[in-house]
Amino acid sequence: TMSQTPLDSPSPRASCLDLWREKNDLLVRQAKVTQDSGLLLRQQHLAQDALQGFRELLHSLRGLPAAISALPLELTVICNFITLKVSHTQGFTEDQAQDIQQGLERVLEAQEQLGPRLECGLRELWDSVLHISSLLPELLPALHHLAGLQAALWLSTDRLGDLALLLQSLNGSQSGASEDLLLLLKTWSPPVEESDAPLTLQDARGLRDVLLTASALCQGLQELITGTLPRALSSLQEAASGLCSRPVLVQVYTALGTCLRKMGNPQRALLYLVAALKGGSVWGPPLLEASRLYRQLGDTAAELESLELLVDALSVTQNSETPQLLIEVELLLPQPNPDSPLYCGTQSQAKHLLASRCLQTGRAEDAAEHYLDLLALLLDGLEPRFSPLPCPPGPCMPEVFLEAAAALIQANRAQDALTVCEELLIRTSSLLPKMPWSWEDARNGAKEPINCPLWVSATYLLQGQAWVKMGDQKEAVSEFSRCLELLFRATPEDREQGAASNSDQRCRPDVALQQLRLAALISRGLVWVASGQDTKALQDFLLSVQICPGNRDASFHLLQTLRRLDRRNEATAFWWRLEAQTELPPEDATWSLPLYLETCLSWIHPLDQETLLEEFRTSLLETSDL
Amino acid sequence: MSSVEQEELLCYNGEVLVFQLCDTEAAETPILHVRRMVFDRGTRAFAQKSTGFFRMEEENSHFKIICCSCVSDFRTGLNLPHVMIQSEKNNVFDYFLLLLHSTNKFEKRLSFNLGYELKDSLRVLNGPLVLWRHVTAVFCISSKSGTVVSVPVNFSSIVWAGEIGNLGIVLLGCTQKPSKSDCAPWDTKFCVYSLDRQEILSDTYIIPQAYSSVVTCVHVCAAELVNNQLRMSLIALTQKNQLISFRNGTPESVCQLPFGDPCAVQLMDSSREDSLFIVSFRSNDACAVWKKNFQVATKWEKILSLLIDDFVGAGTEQVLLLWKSSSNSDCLASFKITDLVSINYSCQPCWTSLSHPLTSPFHVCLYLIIPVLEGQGLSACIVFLLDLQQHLLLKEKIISKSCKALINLVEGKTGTSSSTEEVKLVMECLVPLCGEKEHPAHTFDEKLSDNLKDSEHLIEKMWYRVMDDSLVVGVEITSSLQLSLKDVTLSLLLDQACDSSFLLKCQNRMIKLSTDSLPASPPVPFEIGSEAKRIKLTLHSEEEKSCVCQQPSKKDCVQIVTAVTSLPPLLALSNFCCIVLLQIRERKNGNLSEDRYVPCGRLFLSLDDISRGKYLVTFPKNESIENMEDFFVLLAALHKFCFQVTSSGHTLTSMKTWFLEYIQCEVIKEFPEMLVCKRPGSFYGTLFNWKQRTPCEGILIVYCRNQSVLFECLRYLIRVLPIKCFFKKLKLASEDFLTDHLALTLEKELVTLTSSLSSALAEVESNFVQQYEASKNMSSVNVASLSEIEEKIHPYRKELQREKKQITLGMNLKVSGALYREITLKVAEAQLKSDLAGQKLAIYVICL
Repeated sequence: TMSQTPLDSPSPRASCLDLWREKNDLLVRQAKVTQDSGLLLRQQHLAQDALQGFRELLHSLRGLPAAISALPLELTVICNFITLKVSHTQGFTEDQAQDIQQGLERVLEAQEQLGPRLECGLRELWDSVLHISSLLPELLPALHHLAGLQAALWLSTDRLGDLALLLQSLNGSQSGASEDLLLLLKTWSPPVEESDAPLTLQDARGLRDVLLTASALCQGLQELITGTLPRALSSLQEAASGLCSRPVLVQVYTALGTCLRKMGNPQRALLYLVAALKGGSVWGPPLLEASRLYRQLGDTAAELESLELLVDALSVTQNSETPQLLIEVELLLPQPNPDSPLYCGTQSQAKHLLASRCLQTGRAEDAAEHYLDLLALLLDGLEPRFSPLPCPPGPCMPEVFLEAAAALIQANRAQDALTVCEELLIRTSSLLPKMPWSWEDARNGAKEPINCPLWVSATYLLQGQAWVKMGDQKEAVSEFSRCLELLFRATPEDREQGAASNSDQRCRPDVALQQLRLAALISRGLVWVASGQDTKALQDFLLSVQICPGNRDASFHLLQTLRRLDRRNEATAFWWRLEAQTELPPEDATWSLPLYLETCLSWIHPLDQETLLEEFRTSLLETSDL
Repeated sequence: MSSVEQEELLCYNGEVLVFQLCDTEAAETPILHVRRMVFDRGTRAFAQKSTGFFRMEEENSHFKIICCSCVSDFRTGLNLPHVMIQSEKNNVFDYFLLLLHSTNKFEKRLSFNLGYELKDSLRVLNGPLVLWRHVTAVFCISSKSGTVVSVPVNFSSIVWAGEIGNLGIVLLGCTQKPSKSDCAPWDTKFCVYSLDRQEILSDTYIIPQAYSSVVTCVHVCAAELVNNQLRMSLIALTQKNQLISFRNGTPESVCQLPFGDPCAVQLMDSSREDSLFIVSFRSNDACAVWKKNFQVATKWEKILSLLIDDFVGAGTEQVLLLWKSSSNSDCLASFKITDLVSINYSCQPCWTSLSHPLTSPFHVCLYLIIPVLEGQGLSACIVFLLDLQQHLLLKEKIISKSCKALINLVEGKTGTSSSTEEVKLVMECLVPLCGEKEHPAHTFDEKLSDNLKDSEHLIEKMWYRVMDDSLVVGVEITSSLQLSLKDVTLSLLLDQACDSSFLLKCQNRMIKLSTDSLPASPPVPFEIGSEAKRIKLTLHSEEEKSCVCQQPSKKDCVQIVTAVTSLPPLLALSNFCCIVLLQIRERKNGNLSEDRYVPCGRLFLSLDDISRGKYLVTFPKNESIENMEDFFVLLAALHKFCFQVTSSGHTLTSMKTWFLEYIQCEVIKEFPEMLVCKRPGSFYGTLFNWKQRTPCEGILIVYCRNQSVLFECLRYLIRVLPIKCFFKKLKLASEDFLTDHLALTLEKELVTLTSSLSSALAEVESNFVQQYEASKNMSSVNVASLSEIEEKIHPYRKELQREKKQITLGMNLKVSGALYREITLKVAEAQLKSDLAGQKLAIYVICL
């Protein structure tokens, strides 16, 4: 059964340890060469091969009983394997914890200390291994290397307590000496490897540098969010002066920009942002931050330009740079959550921000274009679902439609606004609850049914305004009437409850409802005025004043109409009331209205308030003089 | 009736032999039955071919089959089935080996008795020869001699025994009892013993000693005697549940087995391309491992037994797996025959196999998939390229816009009172490190006596040292005077007894060192290139100011001018004296310069002094230098190399720390920017200076003894630095050349801009004229009634009005896209060139 294959291969090695060591060194060298080859696909293939090589090597080493003489090599191979695996799969998994655990168990096995400890966790395992290893100096470099990987694993899984304890034992300090992670990392000095030690892909000191930058950045971001700015600044500067890859440097500079802006140093913040943009290929976060900065500086043109660039930047799919076969800072950082300064959202979110800022700053034409682009983007389904920007809270889909319609009307594109409104009505009609609707249903239901009647009535209001722009008064009146009909179905006692339960929301629906009613009444009133039907107008204005007794716009329109109808006494009485009101502090406006509603309200704002008041005052004085 | 006591299976030439030891009630002695079973491909089942039997002779004994195998008989050389029977009576164990002939007749070949029972350490080998281990000794009996012989080696275990070429039967085992708790497992040793030669063979080429405590079973694939040394290629099973292949004593491949406690491994020649190792486990499981890639091909659980032979007559081997069937007493009722490639027969397929090997349809699919994947790859690449292009364009746009915005801000368009302060602060951060400047040796101006001036407040110190072949003279100049090498020359005048004195050829160097540890600059990157350009573009007086502000403050800086000259020619004089003279060129307003000569002192040197080592340089031993002069001499005399170090992906901000940690450098206490290497070896004492320019770029200056040390040093650096760096050696042209070059490129930039602007202007003008003429023509054609003309002219008037307005607003100055592109390209190219020139000059300033 023995096949006769020639066996005259070169003479055998002195020991298989040397052989494996050579294999390890060869794999490391190959992996390092791989990094230099430009082709991503080939690199991945080679990394896969190297990974397989390390895995086989580890099997070979574990095929022997644990021995002190072989452990430095075995631990180094484990470290290389973990490093390659983590960088290849771009993240830590449970496998790495198991690899580390096996390595530690082998150390104990070599010392015949393995037994009842098998059940204990990694933390206890490290304690006993580090306790033993103090007697085995030859193991220390490899153990520190493995500890570096453990630290990276714990940092990436946010187990900072364990991490601090591990660093304390590595530093040989008493537990409870210092909890400052950055300080612990800085004082940790992994022992120098012998020059004849097996090669490593990334040594313990390199890992320490990465850990230091990652934890400084994490800490800085945390402090930035909690508002301890001077500490955030120093943490972030620590991160910037550490080892960073280009994308990480962009993140650090952006965070520094945010920090300095909040500290009132916009120029220095800008320098960092420019540096961030120059430095890398990740432009989203610095551009968004730049827009915030310019907004704070009041430079609207620059702000909008930054936002435009942000939209462009987010439209480019990020090409993944050829990965380094090392554990990098990015791997240890969590994905930025929405309240992080490094969060820049999606393209549609940026587009919405741009459009709404244009509308807010009075650039209606631009706003209209951007809103149309945004709607096209959303309706084409290029993005699976539009989720509002959570910080500050953004609008949902129907509100985007309404804002778009408002912007179009503002930009004198009433016909387009009508189209948008129709589209919205088609989409929301199915959501509209059966009449009559009350806030009771609203409270129990989800967000959409709560607001759905609001949106529909707002759509009618905008349609009416579009008709006004187009000069069709009849259509306008009918739209405003439909709007009011819908709005007045809400029962007042329910409203009170609704107000109470929704008071914590960004915009209380009851306030929005009230303002909508006001806007619709005044709008219809204005159409009546334009068509010369002042009595009808008077009715609407009276009603609007009843709804919002303190509202100055409504009061002025009423006053003006009374005057036009020559009902002097009523007008005078009302004027006195108005004068008295001006003494009072204005109604609290802590909550903001939706942007589309703000825009609607701006249209019904009487133009010449002061002149009217002045005229009134003089005419009254004249009459009193008489 | 008969009751089956024991049943054993053996395969032989594609047949399955079923041995049954039956106790019959009628007869006194039990009978050994054999059934030859053949697999019928038609019925897909085993059929009985023939039977035979053997009646045990001894009465009142307990019989047992302890082993069956196919071994060769030395008389015929034929491989035949053998069955080993044990009979026990009153604690005396009789053993006999039965040979089964093809006629189904049994022949008793060998018999012996022992006072103990043989456990599973028994092996039947060719001969036939029976081998077993008892306590610590190994015994054997062959059919030739017929007597039990003890092997003179203390085997603690035998992992393999078999016949090898001209060595005959060879035993492979361990000679010490492996202890599981031993922390040095290499103590136990493998031993190879040839029974025929009765000698221990060298074991170097078989299995490394490290494995002696874990190997449990071996399958030898090939064995050969080369230069009287036994070489083997073998497969071993270990206690760590691994299958390992060794070749010439080196482990080649390792396979982690899917079950624990493997007990046997067999080779199955399944096809021409690849073979399989079939591993059986004590847990009644089995698995197959591909020979080529050493990967587990498939696994089977809870099997009764497995046999390997060519059962279906295909010419290659298959594995026969048998499972216990509860209903049927026939052991061949539930089986599977497979070679894991193409042959697959099974009797109860639903629960026999756990996993399926790769079958041919899959391979077909694979071929169909590959071209599709390739197609996708290509289009993905194109998409990737397009993305990249867009990426680049966008990047350019973003940078230009951001710069514009920054400029606007800096120019104060939205400035606040705090902004200027802040800018100042930033500018301070941007202050680069000062540099010294180098200049080739000057020829001496003879008119020194005219301009000699008082030197007391100018020269702090003068000293000289001998280093290798050079004489180094250093002069420390008071820091109140800011000088560059361009402005100073240190000359050595050989003062002979005779009245003629002559000038020595020497190399000058200016050393400026900061004694203050600079605060770590905040990591805002800055553009050196454009900075230098901006300085050049400003007025001359401003330039000087900005130069001054770039120097570290005066009191923290040490200025030394050194002169290095060749020593051997001077030693010929055995005793000589030199006058050290400093020439300072002071720049007055404008370009006129005035020379000023400062005598620094005399130096006396004799051969005796040198041989006594009086002026020899000592290398710095501690962090602080005991002898400052020696250090300056080192800086002057060592070779100086400048490198631009860049990293494409990472920041280099920790470079200084890396030098301290990886190269074992130490910071020189007096001059914190200098690092001295304390790593034992050839580059001990090498000096480094790291200057960070941008986060990802910096200048490294290396002072070392010679070029080979430099190469060694760089090689080491590249190996140990934790990130990939690129080192570019900077060739230092003269400063004048660089300045001229910058001036030239700036001029070109300006010319390009003006010329392209004028061409654009010309185009706009010609366009305008054409339009004007066209409209004139149009209007002249229409000659109709006056009112009509009036009506028709009206829109043109309006047009004219509009255009006039536009021209005044400068809005109609349109040029064609092609011209615009051409202009931007030209200007960008010119700007790039001047930027590069500016950068070069800036690097030069840093290096010196």
